[in-house]
Amino acid sequence: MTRRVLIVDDEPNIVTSLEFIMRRSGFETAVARDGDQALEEVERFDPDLVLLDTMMPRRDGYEVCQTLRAQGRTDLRIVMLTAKGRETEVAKGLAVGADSYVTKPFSTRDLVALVRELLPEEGP
Amino acid sequence: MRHDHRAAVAALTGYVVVAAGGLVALVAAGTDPLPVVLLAAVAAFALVLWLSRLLGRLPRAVSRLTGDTAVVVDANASQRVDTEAADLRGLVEQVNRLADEREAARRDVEEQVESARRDLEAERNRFAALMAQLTVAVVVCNAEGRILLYNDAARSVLGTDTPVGLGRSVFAMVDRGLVTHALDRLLSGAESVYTATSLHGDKLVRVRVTPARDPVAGEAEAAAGFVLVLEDLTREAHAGDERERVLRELTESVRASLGSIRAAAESVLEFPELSADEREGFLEIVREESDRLGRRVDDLARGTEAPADDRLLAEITGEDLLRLVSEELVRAGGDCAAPDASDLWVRADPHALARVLTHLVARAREGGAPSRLHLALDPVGRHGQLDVRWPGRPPAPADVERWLGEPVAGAGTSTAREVVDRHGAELWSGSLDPGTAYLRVLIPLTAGEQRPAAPTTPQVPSRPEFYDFDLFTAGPQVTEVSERRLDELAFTVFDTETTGLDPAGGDRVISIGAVRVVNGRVLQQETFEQLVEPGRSVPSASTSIHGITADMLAGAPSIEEVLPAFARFAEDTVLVGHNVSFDLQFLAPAEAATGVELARPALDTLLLHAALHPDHQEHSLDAIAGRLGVSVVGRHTALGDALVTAEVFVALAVLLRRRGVRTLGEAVELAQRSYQARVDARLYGR
Repeated sequence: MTRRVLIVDDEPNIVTSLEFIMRRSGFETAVARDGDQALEEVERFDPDLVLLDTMMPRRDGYEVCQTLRAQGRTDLRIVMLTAKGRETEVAKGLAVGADSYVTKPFSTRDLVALVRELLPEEGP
Repeated sequence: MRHDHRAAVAALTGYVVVAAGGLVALVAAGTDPLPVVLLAAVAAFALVLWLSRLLGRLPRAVSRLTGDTAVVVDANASQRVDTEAADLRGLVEQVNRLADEREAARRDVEEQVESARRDLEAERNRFAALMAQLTVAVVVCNAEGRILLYNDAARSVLGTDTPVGLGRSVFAMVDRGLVTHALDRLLSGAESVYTATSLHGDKLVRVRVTPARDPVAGEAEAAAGFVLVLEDLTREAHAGDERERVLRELTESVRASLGSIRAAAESVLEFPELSADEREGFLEIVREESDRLGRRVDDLARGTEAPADDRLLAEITGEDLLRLVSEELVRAGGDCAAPDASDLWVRADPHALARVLTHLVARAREGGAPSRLHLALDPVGRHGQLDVRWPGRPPAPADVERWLGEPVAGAGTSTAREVVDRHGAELWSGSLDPGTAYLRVLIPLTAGEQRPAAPTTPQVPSRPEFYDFDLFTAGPQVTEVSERRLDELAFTVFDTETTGLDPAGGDRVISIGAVRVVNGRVLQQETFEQLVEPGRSVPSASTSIHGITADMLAGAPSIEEVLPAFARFAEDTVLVGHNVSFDLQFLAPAEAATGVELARPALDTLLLHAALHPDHQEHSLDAIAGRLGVSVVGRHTALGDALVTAEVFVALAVLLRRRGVRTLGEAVELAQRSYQARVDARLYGR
């Protein structure tokens, strides 16, 4: 069964590349442009993993992550993508329930490897 | 009195003996005895008259002479006594001779003292000039926080809302918790210098606290006071916040652009089979993001400087941080106990951080969060995780974000977010379990968790020569003000000018003047002077007394605005005035209207003088000033009169002490009795 990845970022330039790479790597993808859309897409698209940018209009990534965990979505893998590099920010991301935290700029190959690691073929 | 009787009896006996001798002589000469008997009767009548006059007048003259002599002895050495009673003339001469000799002897001593004082004065002036040139503010306080010394810079840093003055409590201006915390740490030897930031008005002030030893008691004693060195950091803090913001935004935008470029480039490199259109699209992303990066770097080169320094931050133990935060939360009305923290150190501006948390908790409480709070601080990796927890639901993250954008009382004009950013910290809300909400701050731990090296102790001179620090020895204050000793109280001596004499008939205050008296000194530099718009015309009859015309009052504040400012000036002091009930009567309507009440009881120099000198009929300010040797300048301005009254009060205070009147309560009682005596005298003609 094809694994589904939801890409959440308000920067179209990064979304284009992420969407391309994830599709080429064999994942089904959907895109959300802000925090509110992200929550809707999780409902509709039911992804296995979310690539979640931290800085977005309306709801930021931390809040989306916290909301999803509060909704009881403990099986959903969440990878935070951020341009914030401070250690406290990384720690905050993990504290609010992210499975992993990737700082921009990142290696796309490493990102794909990380997603594959979080979504083993056998399924959770 | 007994002496008067004895003199009278002696005189009477002498008279009778002489009269009897005369009568015997006349009878012996065989003259008709009738005129002699008449003569004797007239003489007897005259005798009775003389006796009654003697018994009535002499005691009053003696009592008056005693009072006048006391003035010479205690208050005004150049005053001389006089009397109308002929029998006392000799005594008066001797008293005045003694007074002359005493004055001459005193002048000798004074000349010697004067030359010594000139040297000291020169030292003081040198010191004062030095203090005046310091751009940092210096305040020296006794253990109670009363100000013993301050410089001009202190006045400008602290004196925005509350006037700075000798003997005033510094805690009206600087957080008491900060100072006591600093002194605890300094005296326990944990640190030798304590620096923190604090807020005054909208100023962010760096406070350095150093304990001061009592110059007399010496090193063995605990600190008899403390020295505060204050620096206005408002501008630096703003600049720091701004630099921090620019740097953060730059970092983030650079990372975002690099992220897009790298992802696009890698897409092209990793998937060589992609179509020409796809390839073109990725290259376009690379070009666009490169452009954006270039523009950001240009902006940076134009607009910013070096990254923010963290001068506002100081090393602090987790335990102290928790204690300060819990104190701040309790002060804001929460119920909060600080638990023991594991032994960790963080780099923080604890007061600002505490105020941010208090601000957020207050906001959360508006949404129904309870006042019962629990604090926790735990090391998490290389961070300290500080939690404020309470039973219930956490505030929505969007609300927390909004509250973070609000300015925080106690942190200059910084917003809560700026304070958090300054710490390199992160803050968010959440639930620990369904029943427990938290506000969490993640603060970087001090590298190596080592206690920072303390700078060397600045040496406080053990015997300052520049000031008579008499207030150093002031003991703890008795709560009941009337039980406090007059010589340890501070006074505000004031006077008002009015449009007339009848407040009930529409007369109003047009000017208030006041000066502080501390430690027996009139503080000429610490005065209050304010014209007041009376809301009515100024009768020319009153203008002829005080010289104030309606034109001069145009644009002056109303009494409702002036009274609160005056009350602040007079805070923690006892009011003193000449015929003070008259002035207070004029201020009463404004007290009722504003809800600001001046401290009672007030002392009245007129009544005190009348109590000390019941035999003098004249108690006007001019008459008293003249008798007490107070030079009168600038009379009939409120401040001028207040200054004269203050000098009079200082002289009266000396006389009161000699009379055994020690406390405020005793002085008030004396004045009260004097008032009653005056009322009685007026009613019954006594």
